[in-house]
Amino acid sequence: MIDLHTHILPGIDDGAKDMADAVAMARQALERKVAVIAATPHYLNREWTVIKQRHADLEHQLSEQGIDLKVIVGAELFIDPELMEMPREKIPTYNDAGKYCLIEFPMQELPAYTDEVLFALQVKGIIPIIAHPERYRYVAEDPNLVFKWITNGCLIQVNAGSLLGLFGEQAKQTGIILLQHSLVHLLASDAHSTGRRSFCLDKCLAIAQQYVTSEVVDLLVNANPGLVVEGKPIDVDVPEPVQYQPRKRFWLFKIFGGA
Amino acid sequence: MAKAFSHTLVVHDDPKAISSEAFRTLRTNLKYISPDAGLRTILFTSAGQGEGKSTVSANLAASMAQTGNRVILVDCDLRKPVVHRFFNAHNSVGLTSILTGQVQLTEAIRKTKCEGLDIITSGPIPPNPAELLQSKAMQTILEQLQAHYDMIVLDAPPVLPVADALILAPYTDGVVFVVAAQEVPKDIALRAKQLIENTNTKILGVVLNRVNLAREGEQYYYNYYSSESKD
Repeated sequence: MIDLHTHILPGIDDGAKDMADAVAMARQALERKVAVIAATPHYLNREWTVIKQRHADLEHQLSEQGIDLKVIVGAELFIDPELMEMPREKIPTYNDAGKYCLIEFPMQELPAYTDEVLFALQVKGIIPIIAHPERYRYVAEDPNLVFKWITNGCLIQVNAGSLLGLFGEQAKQTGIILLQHSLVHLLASDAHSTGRRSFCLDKCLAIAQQYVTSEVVDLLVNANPGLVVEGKPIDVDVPEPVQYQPRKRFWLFKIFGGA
Repeated sequence: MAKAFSHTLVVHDDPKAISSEAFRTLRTNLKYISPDAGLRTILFTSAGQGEGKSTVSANLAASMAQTGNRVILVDCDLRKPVVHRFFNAHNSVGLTSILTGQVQLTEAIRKTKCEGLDIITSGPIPPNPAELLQSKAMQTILEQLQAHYDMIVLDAPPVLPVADALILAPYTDGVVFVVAAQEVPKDIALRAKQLIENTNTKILGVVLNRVNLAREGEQYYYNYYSSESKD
């Protein structure tokens, strides 16, 4: 499997603390049938060169210890109007190829400039992959936000941990809704350690297969992330995602309808 | 929700189909509407969403190219663009990329499987489509295209929900109004027509789409023709 959202780089964010930690995570990834990962530390202080250096250090360390895990460089951006002004080559992307970036939003409120930033990235030729939308409060309230982002050209990454219930029932149910409506393109672990938030893609496969076919699950953990690694386009036009139809709450109408 | 359309280019894929014949007729009619006025830039729109204006504009553009014209089809629907689907093209670079200054015009023009027909897809969907279409850059693009192509076909959003088509209309030589037969109430269609006329742009004609041939009692006639033409 290919896992494009991990916090394996040592001492850079709230992921791996040191190199020993990172190496332990790499071993766990291999044990859990992951062959390729992307290191995507939180990108907050504009340290893309530092991230690339740490990535090179980790690669070196893994090859010294004979750990056969391929790690590509990346970052988890936080949505910020500054991204609109940055030149393309300064924006952290997978493999530093300028094709795909991973971007997260605040948990509670959707910023007013979201669509502008996503558009600005796209006209620079960078396809935004939106990280774990199922965890955002406003997406739980209106999953069709995700439909809009997809029709506007973004891709969607759902956390394996959400489907496992690690982030609560609401994130789990929202994740399932997104899966059922073809609103997901990638599943990833968002691993921070070998402990609670670990490499858990393998564990979520069985859950995902309750809602979509095993062919679709394979797309989400192999084929699609593979295309991102290669910097090739993912065809999301066909079939078009299904827009989420909220269930009608008849009891509400009964109570308030006559007023 | 709009119905799921198959985005097929019938005039290219099946030139003998009934609808291909209809597109050729439309092409000829447009040519004879104003032989002297030099019809160069045509805008396609409709009253509401999903009436088939993209299908009509893409096929008409292909049909015009088949007669040896240099034609460019520009997807000016920056909200729900579909032109790229007719040509199996990717939409990562397009009109919005030019309008925001990220690429040059020539970098966004793509050749198609139809000889003589080039396209510019919409590009990434912007948060402010009307502003972009209103910009000086848009006028400049149209002027540059007019220097290189015999015919410029603009696929615009519907008239009633958004202003985009009305913004573009004055830059064109005329508007073709696509109406889905039996689907659009008469007063709605008339209101849309009035909005276009308010921009002082000529309405070149109306394309009545999705006419039920069986209902019109012409099925036998058309079947007879199409089966014969396959021989």
